[in-house]
Amino acid sequence: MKESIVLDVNGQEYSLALESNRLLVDVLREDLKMTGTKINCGIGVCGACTILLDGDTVNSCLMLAVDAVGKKITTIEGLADGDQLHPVQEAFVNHGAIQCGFCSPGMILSAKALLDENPRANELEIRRAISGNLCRCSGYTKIVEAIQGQTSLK
Amino acid sequence: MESNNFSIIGKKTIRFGDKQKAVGKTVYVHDMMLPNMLYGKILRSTMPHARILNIDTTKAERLPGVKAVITAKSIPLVNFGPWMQDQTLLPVDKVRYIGQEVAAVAAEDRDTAEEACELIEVDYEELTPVFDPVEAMKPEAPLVDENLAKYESLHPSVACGNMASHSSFQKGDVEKAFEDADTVVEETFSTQTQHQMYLERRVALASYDIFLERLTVWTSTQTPFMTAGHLGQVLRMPISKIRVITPPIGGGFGGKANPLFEGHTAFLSLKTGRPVKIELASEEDFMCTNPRHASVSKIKFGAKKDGTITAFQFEFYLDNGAQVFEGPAVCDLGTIFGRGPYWFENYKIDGYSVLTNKIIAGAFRGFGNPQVSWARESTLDILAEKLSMDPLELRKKNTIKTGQPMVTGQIVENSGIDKCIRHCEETHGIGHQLNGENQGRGCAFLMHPTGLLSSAAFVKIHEDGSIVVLNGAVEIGGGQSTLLAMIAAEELGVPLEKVAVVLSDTDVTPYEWQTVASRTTYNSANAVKRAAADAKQQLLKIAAEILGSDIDPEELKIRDGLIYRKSDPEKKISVHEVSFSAHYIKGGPILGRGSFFRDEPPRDPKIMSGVSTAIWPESTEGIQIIDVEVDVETGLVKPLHIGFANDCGRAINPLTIEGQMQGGAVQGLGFSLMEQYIFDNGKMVNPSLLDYAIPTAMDVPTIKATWIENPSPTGPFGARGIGEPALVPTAPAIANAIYKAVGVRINDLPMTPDKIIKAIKAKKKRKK
Repeated sequence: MKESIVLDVNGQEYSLALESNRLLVDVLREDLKMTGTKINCGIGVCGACTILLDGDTVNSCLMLAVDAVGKKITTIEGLADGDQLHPVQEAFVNHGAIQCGFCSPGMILSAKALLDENPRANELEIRRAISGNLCRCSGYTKIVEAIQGQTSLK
Repeated sequence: MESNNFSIIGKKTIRFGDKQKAVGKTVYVHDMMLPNMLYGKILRSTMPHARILNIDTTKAERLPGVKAVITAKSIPLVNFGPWMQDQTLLPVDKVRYIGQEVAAVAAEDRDTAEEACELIEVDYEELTPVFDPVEAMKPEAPLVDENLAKYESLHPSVACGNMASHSSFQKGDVEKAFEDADTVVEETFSTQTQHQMYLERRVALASYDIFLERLTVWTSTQTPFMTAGHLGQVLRMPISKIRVITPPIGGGFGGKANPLFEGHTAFLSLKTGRPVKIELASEEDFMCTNPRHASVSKIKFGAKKDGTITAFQFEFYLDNGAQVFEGPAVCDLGTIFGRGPYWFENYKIDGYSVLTNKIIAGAFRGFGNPQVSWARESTLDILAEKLSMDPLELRKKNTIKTGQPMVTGQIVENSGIDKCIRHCEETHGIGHQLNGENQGRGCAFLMHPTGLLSSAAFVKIHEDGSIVVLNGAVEIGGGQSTLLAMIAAEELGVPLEKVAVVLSDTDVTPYEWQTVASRTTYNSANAVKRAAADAKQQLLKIAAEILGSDIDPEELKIRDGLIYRKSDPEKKISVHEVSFSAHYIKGGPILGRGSFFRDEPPRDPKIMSGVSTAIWPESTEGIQIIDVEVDVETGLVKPLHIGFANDCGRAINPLTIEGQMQGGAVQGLGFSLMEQYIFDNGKMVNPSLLDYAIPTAMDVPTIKATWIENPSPTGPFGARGIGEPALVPTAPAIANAIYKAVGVRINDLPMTPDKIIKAIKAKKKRKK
């Protein structure tokens, strides 16, 4: 049985008809073709599926699409302005904080959410904020440096 | 650490493709969907060792939405394997481990495919399994594969019983040397099964076009070429009818170094005439792929009072899992590099890979070296204490020098270990101790190969003078395309912005064995450099003809895309003009080709046996210095700082090198302190990130990664690869630091809190 819903993704509204048991991450990737959000563990541990819901980080693999109705969803696709990267994205690229890139969308959104709430975050606060985003390539060092470069403590 | 006199290499360069990754637009195979696509799923064995009596797929086939079901009976059975050809895609007579592929289905959606698998009925007759490699070596052990000795093999080692391979090296007389030694230490160690935990799970998408009679496969792999070869073999098709394409992948670390279920995916596509995608679930990726070999080892050192090590005996057993796979090669590397960056007069080194009824072990960054370095570098500290010597001084006394041979007889052409030591004394405080309570500093040395087997490349020049590099390496996160572009641009003398790179497409790019073994910087880059040099020769020949009949190509130089006569720079012409002429006026389009393989010298059977890849083209040395603080109440080890120096030969892109070293060291942290497979009767009982912990940002201290440039005579511009070595010394450096901190030594990885507490309690008891 399909439900008709409207999702607000990156400032645009999308009308969808879907089963109420569809996960938000699957709807974003398969129905809306926004494959920037990734899936790995499916149980809310790795953070690859991180999106922002009204500005807060959420594991979209643990959320039903129907529960996101009425909220503002931000995916990685919503950060850049045309060909202008968001400052956090720019920082990641310039610091060499991206290797295979699979964790990067989730990691960048977690960084953005932190900096929006706490622009003067220190190293410990940065590490804590991204502790739910696993990266296997980088060892996190350059990611932390990239985010530190964006705080107003720089 | 600066490189001089180069226009492009040595400078921090933003990597191609990173902006695309930052905005989430990179398409991984994980993201790929084709029209009319089916979803595949593999049915797996639930028994560690059992005879298959019957497989009934009737109910599965009848389920609406199911389009194909395959078992061993429905496909031609071809034996394959990277060394020994002991594998088939699906089993005929028995299953050998929990997780083994038994059947596969393709259906309209994932849920239907999963349900279809559940409807397949398999009747098993249980057989006695064996789970421990040392037990499996005993004559009375159940045989994992009764036919082991009969298969064809590319490896010279002779298999028998459950022993898949035995590599060995010897020199001098270790027995006598032990008798004559002033001090002897003997220890045993073990390491655990560790998963690569690449973030993009293994996934393949196969599409067979029945009209073109061509198969195209997109797969998250480190080896499109071995995959194409494998598919040709199992499908009985010429490789020219197969195209394997690999976009950037979400990590590999060796876990994607070999084909796995591309064959199953391809057969499902052949049978249905539709594209089929198989992506492993997270639990499946833990239980049914190829993690690191667990090991047990016995090590013995004999030394003189002054610290000269005169005897080294090392015996290790790799837990291979149920099929031979990469075991012999991991064994080779472990035995070749077991001695480390040192030279000893007498030694005997034996490595065994042994079959057990467990998950098939495979390639993971380090490839046997972390296992052997764990034992050796820990024992060196134990020996140092017994000799009342500083551990650093003991190591200094025994380092390998330029001109000395490795155990294979291969001469070390430019040893970097002594330079690394001096650098670490200046930069990383090696040899100093920490003063804080329960704090300690430990170090460990590494020596690791770089490069292996063959690579080829093309460099083509478009009519406007822009360049395309074609090579079969995979963009696995190490900045492969940027590196190869920089090499080509430097060799040719053109601006980097004019160079594009096309990678990993078996129809388009020439052969590349695998993207592993720190070989892109050494092997692939050498092939690209040769191809660029070849293209340059063609350019200069035409340029000389255009510039004047009295000019020899040798007199010309290219810089910034301009070709000029060295003695008279006003005689000049752009690469653009020359290439345009080549296309329309004379010479023909310019295509440079390059091929690289470091030929093996003759082997001396007096010093080695059972070893396949005796020559590892080049090597690199390094040192890690790790500070820890141990909480004696909880047993938690908190790393405080990691110092790391590595010989990179010549830094091509400094921006990438640091990231590789840091990332590898953190994988080493996981190996040392937290990651392990917990087995119960051959079944991994912690197959999820909730129970298999990998380091998070909170677990990682400051990492100071530096490098020395000690050029390799055979590396491109002197470069050595450093993608792998970073986690080789981490575990023993931490163990040595823990010993300095709280006086206990753990010999079994990982060094989890329960083991630390137990060791501390035991030490307290001994004191009483």
